[in-house]
Amino acid sequence: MREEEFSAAYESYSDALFRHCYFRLYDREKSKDIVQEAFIKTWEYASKGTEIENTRAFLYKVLNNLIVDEIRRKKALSLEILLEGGFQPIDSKEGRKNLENFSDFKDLLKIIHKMEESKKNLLIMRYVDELGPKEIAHILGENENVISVRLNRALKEVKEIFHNE
Amino acid sequence: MNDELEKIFKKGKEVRLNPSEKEKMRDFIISYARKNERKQKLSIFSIFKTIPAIISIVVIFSGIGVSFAAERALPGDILYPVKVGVNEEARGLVALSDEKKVKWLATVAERRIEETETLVKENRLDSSAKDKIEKNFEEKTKKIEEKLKSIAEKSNSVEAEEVSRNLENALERHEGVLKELSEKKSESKEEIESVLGNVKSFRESIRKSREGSEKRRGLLDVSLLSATSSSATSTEGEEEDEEERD
Repeated sequence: MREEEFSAAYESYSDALFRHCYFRLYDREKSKDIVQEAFIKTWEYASKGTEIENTRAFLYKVLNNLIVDEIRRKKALSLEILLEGGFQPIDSKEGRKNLENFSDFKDLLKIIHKMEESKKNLLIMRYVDELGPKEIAHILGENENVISVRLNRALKEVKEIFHNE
Repeated sequence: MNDELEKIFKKGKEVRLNPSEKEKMRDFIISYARKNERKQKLSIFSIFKTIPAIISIVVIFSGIGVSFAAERALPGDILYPVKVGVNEEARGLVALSDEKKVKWLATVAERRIEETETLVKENRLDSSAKDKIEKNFEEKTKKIEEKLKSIAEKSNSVEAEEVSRNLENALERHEGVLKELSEKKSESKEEIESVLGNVKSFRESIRKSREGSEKRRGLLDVSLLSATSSSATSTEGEEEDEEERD
């Protein structure tokens, strides 16, 4: 991978990776660190001369591993505590602009937070990151059909939570 | 997925790095990438990658050995094609000017005659060796004549004449040797005479064109001399004029 490709990958995927990370950890600062770490690890891998076929998928893979490590290391705080402690799901300046949408956000976060980690990951990948089932399968090293089935189940669960709220 | 839920999920899209965060991170990772660019670690893979290079180095060096050994090969030897097809052609390519090329071609032509002599002495001159020698000799003599012509055309006829004269002398010497050999070694008399015939006719041919060139140059030189002398006198005259004015 050449520097231009790497730079282009950063421009294209950094926001999406950050968002993904954010919804997994609910920690803006930590998410930034992890995204940065994911890019660096990817570059290190590429500079050993190994060809990376799908840069986006590779970045997600690295990111996912880092997130899993982070979750293991430090159990995520409950959303309630976060919300009480002045938690900001979006960058403050932008967030304040459309406060009316903020409740939707809370709903979304509440739903996602109630899911178990693997389902949460799947839903974020599919509906926030807008990755296709094929790409998700590639990132997670699973069969595409398996991913589709799991996604359907997770979605069903989300709907149940949503209508019970 | 129902629309309402989809809408909410879409809201998640608003989460992103702000421009300054994005810029800061970009600076960090790009400068990191530059610092750590392709530190070629000596892994098994990189060794595999260098194998073709190692092989080609071995081939080149052993190739030098082969071509060196080939220098002494004679028609019928395994390495003879290397001598004629590789070594001599390569040296011909290295010679850039027509003058250098023709000198090298003359050397090659002489080599063919020397090979004939050595083969006769070793009782190895058969018709196939003779054919090889004659074919190559003919090729070289044709080229020599072409080059001599082109040198002379580039108004460097003195050089062409000198090369020709040297070659004629060498050829004459070889003719003597070949004649002697054909008398001594009657079994390969036919082959020797055939080569000798080629050498003789080639020598005649270049001698004729050299003499022609010398004659033309003789006339040309006279006119040139008169031209320079007249211009020389005119400059002298001017100088005198200047002196007078002073």
